[in-house]
Amino acid sequence: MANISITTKCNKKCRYCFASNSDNFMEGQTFEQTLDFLERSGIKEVRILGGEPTLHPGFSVFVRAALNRGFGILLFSNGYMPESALCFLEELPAEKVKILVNVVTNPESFDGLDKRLVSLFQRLNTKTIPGLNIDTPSIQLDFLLDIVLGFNTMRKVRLGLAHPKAEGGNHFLHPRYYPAVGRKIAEFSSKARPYGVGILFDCGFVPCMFPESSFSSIGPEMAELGKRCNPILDILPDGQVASCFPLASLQQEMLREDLTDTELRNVFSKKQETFRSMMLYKKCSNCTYRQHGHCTGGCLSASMQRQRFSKFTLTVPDCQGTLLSHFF
Amino acid sequence: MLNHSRQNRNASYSCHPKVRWVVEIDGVLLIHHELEKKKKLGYPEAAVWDLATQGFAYARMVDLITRIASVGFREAENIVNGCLESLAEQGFLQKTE
Ligand code: SF4
Ligand code: SF4
Repeated sequence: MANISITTKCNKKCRYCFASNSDNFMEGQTFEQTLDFLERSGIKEVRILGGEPTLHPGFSVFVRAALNRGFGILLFSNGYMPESALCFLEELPAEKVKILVNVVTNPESFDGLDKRLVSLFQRLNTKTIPGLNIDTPSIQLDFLLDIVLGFNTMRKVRLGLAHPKAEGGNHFLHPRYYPAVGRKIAEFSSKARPYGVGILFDCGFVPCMFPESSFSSIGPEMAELGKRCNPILDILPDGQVASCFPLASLQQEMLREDLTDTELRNVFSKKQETFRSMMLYKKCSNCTYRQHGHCTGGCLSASMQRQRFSKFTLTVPDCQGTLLSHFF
Repeated sequence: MLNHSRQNRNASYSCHPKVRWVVEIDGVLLIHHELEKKKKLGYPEAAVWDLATQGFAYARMVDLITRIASVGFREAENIVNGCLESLAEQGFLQKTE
């Protein structure tokens, strides 16, 4: 797996976003190089994201180029795409293209869904998977099930947690809210399962956020949830690769012609070794999920927010022993 | 345990600017971003670190360590000085004399 961010340009201003919302567009030659990289790594799917990737002037050319080379497409979009991109996606075969639509405005209910999104789901229905990036504990999730059933989308919803950038500065869901969010997801899951609707979890979910009674309704994904903080490989518009967007300030590598995804992951993993002992909560060091290999301690970038620093200086007096005996 | 109480005369120890730490249930994890290394401090060394970061003076720190570790003054001094020396040797603290 590797994600290709073809632009940082966007038409929304999500407070948790990692992209800078600027006119950075991946060049055609760089996109071809990323396809070469995916090919030599044996990856069959091109995961295209942004910003809002459909705003890239070469969006359809890129998608065509990937399809012509035999890749499947997974597109991450906020759904507010130009009409030309919508028409283009309508024409593509459903077995080759999936679109994860991140509903950036969390509507209270299905009725509150923006007209443009309604139109998008109507037109792209079976190619889409609705989803949400969770950046507050006060989320509503039921509208996602309504979208799946009302528009006949794929029988899945995608959930992501808004993670902090390692260097800070973006809005994120603080781990103290994870249990509140976990309860809502558990409730949602028990409503969605009877309709055959499953949840696709992004990275950074941890077992302790869910009530144990909900593990079976969440399904087999549960066993893997806590182990998903690994180098994802996010390829940036300039061809640099980051372990993931939140960790982009720690290290970036050039997409060299001799590297495969496994080799790049090893490079990032080695660099992160020092930081991996940091975990999401104080309690992680004694956690039984971790001891039994069900969790590695959550999002590294979120864990790094626990780091403290102060410029202390401690002076040891030259007559310490004598001073002390007087002091006491 | 080594007796460090005479080794630290006129010494000041300050936190290396690239060192960060995380408080865990069972101690303190130090991370050196420049040297890319980490060190886990158990108790009572974790308490020495914690007290230093809170700006406690040396004498007060030794006093508190006597209670935290249930040891006498000399032993507490040894714990504090040993911890400071070792962290300075490993680059987590910068020592000036
Ligand atoms: S290791 Fe930490 S984050 Fe993971 S389940 Fe345990 S307490 Fe939660
Ligand atoms: S640090 Fe790990 S969990 Fe956090 S965003 Fe990156 S890959 Fe995901």
